[in-house]
Amino acid sequence: MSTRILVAEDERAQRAELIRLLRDRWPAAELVAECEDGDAALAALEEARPDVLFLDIRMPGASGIDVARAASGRAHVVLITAYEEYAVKAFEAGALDYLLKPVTVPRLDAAIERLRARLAESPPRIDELLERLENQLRPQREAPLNWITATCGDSVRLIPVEEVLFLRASDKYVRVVTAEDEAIVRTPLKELGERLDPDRFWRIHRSVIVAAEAVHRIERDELGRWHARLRGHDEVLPVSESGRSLFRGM
Amino acid sequence: MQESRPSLNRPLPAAVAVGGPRRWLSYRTYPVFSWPWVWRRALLFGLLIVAWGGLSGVMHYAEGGSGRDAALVFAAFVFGTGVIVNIGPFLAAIVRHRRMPARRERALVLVALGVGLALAFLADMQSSALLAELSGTSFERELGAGALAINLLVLLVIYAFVGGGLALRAYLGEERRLADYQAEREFQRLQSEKLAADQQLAMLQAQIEPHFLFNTLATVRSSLRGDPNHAEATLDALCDYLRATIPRLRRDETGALSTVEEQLEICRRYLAVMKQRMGERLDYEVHAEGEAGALGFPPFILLSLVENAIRHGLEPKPGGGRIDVAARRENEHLRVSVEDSGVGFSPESGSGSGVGLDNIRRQLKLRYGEGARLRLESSPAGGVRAIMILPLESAS
Repeated sequence: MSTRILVAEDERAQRAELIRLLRDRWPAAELVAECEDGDAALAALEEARPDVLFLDIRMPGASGIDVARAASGRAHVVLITAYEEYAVKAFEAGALDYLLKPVTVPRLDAAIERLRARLAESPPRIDELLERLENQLRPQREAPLNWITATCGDSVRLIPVEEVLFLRASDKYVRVVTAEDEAIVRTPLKELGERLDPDRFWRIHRSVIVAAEAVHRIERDELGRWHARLRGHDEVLPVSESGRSLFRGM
Repeated sequence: MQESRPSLNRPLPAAVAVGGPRRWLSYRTYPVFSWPWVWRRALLFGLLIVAWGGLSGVMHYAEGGSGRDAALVFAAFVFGTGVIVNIGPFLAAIVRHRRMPARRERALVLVALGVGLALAFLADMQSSALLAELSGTSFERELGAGALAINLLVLLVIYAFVGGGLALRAYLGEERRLADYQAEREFQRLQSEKLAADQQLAMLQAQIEPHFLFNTLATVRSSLRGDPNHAEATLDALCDYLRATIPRLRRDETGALSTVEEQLEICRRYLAVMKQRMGERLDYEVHAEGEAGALGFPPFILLSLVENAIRHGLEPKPGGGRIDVAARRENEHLRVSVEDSGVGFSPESGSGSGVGLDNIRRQLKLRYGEGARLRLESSPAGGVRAIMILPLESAS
């Protein structure tokens, strides 16, 4: 029985060339699916039951990594990338192979050679490898927040964190307030707070994070509750007992 | 060590001078106890003294005094008050212009003001005696020693007050204010240098975005056999793009201003390459309305936005979409927008670190301060719309 191959690559010329090369270098294999995006590849994975997947990492819809995850343990995977070699290289000898763009004949031959050897065994589980790879491709995930995506009326806006005066949580959402306008986000206040610079943004109340430099003064009302007044905004913010300690030593 | 003392003959930076912008107080913009300070101050007070002295003379004449006596009253008043007001600062200026070490200078300025105080006292005695004689009133009041001492003390306070004592505080604080000012300036200079370096790095990265380059080369290679015309067209488009960007990189090292049209052209060439690669998955239009194309525009910011639109908007979208880049003049502003019909903001990509965007924002801030705006919002077409509002600048 011949080996069944799936090729997923969004750029038509590159896809056609890879298919031509595969026919040329691996005549025994049979092309069963040719996909121009990740979603089509996911569908073809179920319908055409390929043995080997050649997947561009960056694709419209589901990414090559998403498709590879779906194929884990069911088919052998070769990832194709223009640049992430530093990330994929680590997996070269392992269960996951990769090709660099532009694809060259010697490199393709080597990959086919390895695939032939591995086809005798059942396809390995590669979920863990893929997760590590995905993390490497997105190293900036833990970087501090620079922009907040917030809803403003019926449009969504990116608000620069630098402009934010305060964040105030209400029942279902968090208000993001700048000197000029405000918008709402559904990310919990706690989660936002963890990714903001703690020197600049202070959690002064269970429901409020404020830009420290925007605080004009804090004062106590007749009932002994503390409030913060801001520069550049009229809203008066509640300050909790622990929040008040942030202002000591100022 | 670098000599950082400012010239005594030029006004101080506004942040250091104690004087406001009021013209008649312009002496206060100069270093305290410098010649320009002393002369301007003398002129200001001189006018007041002459006016008051003149009034006294006229009064004396009106009350029946002789013309000669009236002139003497005038002269005695101007002399006495003039000395009280000016002698201390005058002596202090002599000290300051010797430009001696700061600590010695301060000590000697204090001595000069003290000597000035003594001289002021003597001058006042003289002129007061003369005035008393002329007006026929006697100052030989019968006073006890205590009252005399208090009298003397009050006089001394008045002399010190008008004779440069008030300026002493400004003088003593001048060094610290200058140091603060210079530190602040140095900080800002370093910061803008760092930003300029970052900016250049960002430009370099924009130029050789590896994904773009290798993917384009892969397209060329793929088409060589099966579709040589396509390979040729792609290669030509890549050359056009590189030609438009690489030499510019050198020229823009100084941060020089490009024009809107130049930047639109770079975007056009970039999009032409992407069109070769993406085929019917990409449509685009790039245009400037009216004379907007000739306006000044910072380099490579626009390209970053277009790259973002491709990378985060259209490339991830099955079936692709379109990009519209438009520039137009709106009253006293330049409005440049990049709109795509891509996948739009996703909850994941959303609240992100967006280093590229942050870079653009910082570049705009560096160049325009608070005068520029960058807004990103969802577009009616379902993708993202980036809008820049900039102050008008000529491209010279």
